[in-house]
Amino acid sequence: MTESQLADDANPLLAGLAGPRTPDPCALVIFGASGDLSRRKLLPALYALARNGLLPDAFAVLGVGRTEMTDAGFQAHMRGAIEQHGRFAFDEDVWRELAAGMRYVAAGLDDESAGGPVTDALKALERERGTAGNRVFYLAVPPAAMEDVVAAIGTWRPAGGWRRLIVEKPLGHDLASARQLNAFVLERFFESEVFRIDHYLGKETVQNLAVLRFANGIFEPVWNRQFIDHVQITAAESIGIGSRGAFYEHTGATRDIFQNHLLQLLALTAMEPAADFTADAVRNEKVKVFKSLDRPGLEQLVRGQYGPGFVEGGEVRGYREEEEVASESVTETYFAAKLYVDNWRWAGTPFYVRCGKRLARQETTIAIQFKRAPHLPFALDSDDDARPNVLLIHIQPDEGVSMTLNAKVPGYGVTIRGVNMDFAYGGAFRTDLPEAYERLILDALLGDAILFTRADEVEEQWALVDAIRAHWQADPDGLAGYVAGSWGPSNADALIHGDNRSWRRH
Amino acid sequence: MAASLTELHTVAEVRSELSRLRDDTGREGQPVGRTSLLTLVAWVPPQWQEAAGSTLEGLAHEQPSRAILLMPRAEIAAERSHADAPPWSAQVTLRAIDGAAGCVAAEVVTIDLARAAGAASIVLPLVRSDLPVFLRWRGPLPEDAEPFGALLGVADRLIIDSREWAGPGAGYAALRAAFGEVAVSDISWRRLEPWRRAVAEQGRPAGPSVRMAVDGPALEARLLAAWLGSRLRAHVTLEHREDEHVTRVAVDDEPIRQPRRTHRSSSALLSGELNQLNRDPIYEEAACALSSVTI
Repeated sequence: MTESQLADDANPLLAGLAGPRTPDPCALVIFGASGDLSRRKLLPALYALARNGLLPDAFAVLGVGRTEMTDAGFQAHMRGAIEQHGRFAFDEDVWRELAAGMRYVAAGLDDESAGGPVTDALKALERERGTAGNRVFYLAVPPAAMEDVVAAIGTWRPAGGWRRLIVEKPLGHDLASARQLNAFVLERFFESEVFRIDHYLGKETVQNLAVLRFANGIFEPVWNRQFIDHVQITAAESIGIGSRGAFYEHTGATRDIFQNHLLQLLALTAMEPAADFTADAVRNEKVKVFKSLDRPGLEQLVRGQYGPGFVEGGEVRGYREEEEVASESVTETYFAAKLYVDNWRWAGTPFYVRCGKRLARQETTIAIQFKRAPHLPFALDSDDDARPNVLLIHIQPDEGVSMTLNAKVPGYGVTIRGVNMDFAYGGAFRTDLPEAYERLILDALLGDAILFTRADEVEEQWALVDAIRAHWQADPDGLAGYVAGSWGPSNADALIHGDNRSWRRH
Repeated sequence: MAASLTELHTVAEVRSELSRLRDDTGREGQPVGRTSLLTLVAWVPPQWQEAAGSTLEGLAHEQPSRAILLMPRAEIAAERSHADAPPWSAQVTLRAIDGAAGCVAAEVVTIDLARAAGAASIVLPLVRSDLPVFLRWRGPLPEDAEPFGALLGVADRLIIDSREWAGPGAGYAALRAAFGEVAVSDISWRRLEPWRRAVAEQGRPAGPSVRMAVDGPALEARLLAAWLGSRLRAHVTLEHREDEHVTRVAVDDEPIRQPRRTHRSSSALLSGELNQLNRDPIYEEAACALSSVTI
């Protein structure tokens, strides 16, 4: 019996026992279970949830993959993954309980008959574990395999139980393919059954952004064009493309990071307060932001590609020398844009966004730069001595929030210096922050879609990306080079310097 | 870890030493962050000092704020029998705790009290401004008002662990009086939460009177029965067998499914209570109903 059912019965014993949310009994079916995502993220996340008592007593994991493995082999493989990648010390008791409900089937789902062994194993596991026919399907498979799997499992609608589908990006590569994929999925699943993961949304600071804005009376009155000069959103990576050359050649920074992570951060920064903190209310507000985004002109866009250089002291090769990358590749590894949200709150306030690989360091931040004080009554050498206030939201690493203020330097005269006030999540709340996948998997098991993207959001995001890429097709020579380990191409600086502003340097 | 080398006898000395140690700690490496959540004031009679020390050690990692430990020591009173002797002495330690987000400070002010009266007047100027103050009272609540009453006046929340009490004597009278003044947490109540949930999930017993059997510590058994009675507005007869932890519960002879075992250290339990700021009316009702349980 679930907590909500108990509450419905008006059981007075339940009062005050809200406690942690525990999902209904269910089976989690992971397609692509022998892959890297399962090893590095999914199983360590499941273990953390089990360790914290957040999984239901009746719970099962069915791994499906092409690699031949026995149940015991799969369990051993996943145990090793948890020991290597888990954030808690390994506990035999927790593992024993989790492993007891863990099975594996070696199968592909590229033809209709292939589903038989999977459904047989799933039904047997459901009987054994008492999961009541509730099923969560996790698609940790390459994009090319997604439709085959969805086509197969779309017909597996259990009698009496519920089912949910978790899908990973990329959700299409342009608007047309995203629409096609959404339509394909939604012919087989209800929108309320589909959980599209953007793992940025599982990060604590991203969730804290809503709390920061809507639970503090001091911010919302100044969160608008009257007081904010501009917003900068940065998702910088120091790493290159690693072994993902073939994938990245067809993706680029715009599709890989901007289309999903950066636009989600922009939407959460710019959106209006939702009527309540429920999935559809919040997603409705995000969609309004996407619809309000002005289509940028070519002069508002910068794309670049890294050349050789030094990153963190090590010499690195240029993008075109990476494995599985064409020697004349024009794929962008850097993207910057000046965007406008055309509504009453933000009219005329630029949102500068940038993302890229092989940049000076790894950092994802949202910087809200306020307007300067209108008049300085101090005798200063320069008005520049009093810098604008900046509210800086650190997404990763070192999740937290800092605020720069102007302060008088102690002494006989008036000298002003900017000082930082830091709120580091790890400093105030010493408990380890849950990994994004822990929160997202738990929410999917609970059926709470607030941290997942909706089909129309995805399509709006792709519509903007298509408009941007259309400019590039008309401007094939516009790809700028930059030195690996720098902050990107010089024309990205020109983009913002032209407005008498500058990118944040760290 | 940095610590004061001399005994401090005034609040000004304590505050000055806190600043000095924070600066010194900062110089050793990266700057020390000062994000704070609360002040914890702990009343720690001698028999609880070892337990309090280990709890605090773990707590520093979870809630790096300011802790003020009040140590009533009778032997100090004997040593300081002459009129000019200072009524208290303090030591300050400051631990810089490294973590993923940098370095933060956990401040501990340990105060040896020759006399209990006036303890609140030492605490008041040392609490962090505008942050909640939690009073952790070790051992049974006293029948006399001082210093409990005055310290309660400083606190936003009182935290006790009724497992530390010998029995349901006068302590509950003091506790019931405290309900009107501050929010109260009982760590034993938190330990009982999985069992309360399991009893609730079993469903609501029928009838105006209920029989409950509990194997566990006496006060926890009684508290569980009182909770059941207060929620159902029913009379509860308790059959109790002593055990170190609650290991078995039955309601009207129906055994309750044993909840999943959880390992929570005393630090983690206390840290959990430090995240609670509101009153708990369910607990208050249960504590007030203790005397109505028939054993």
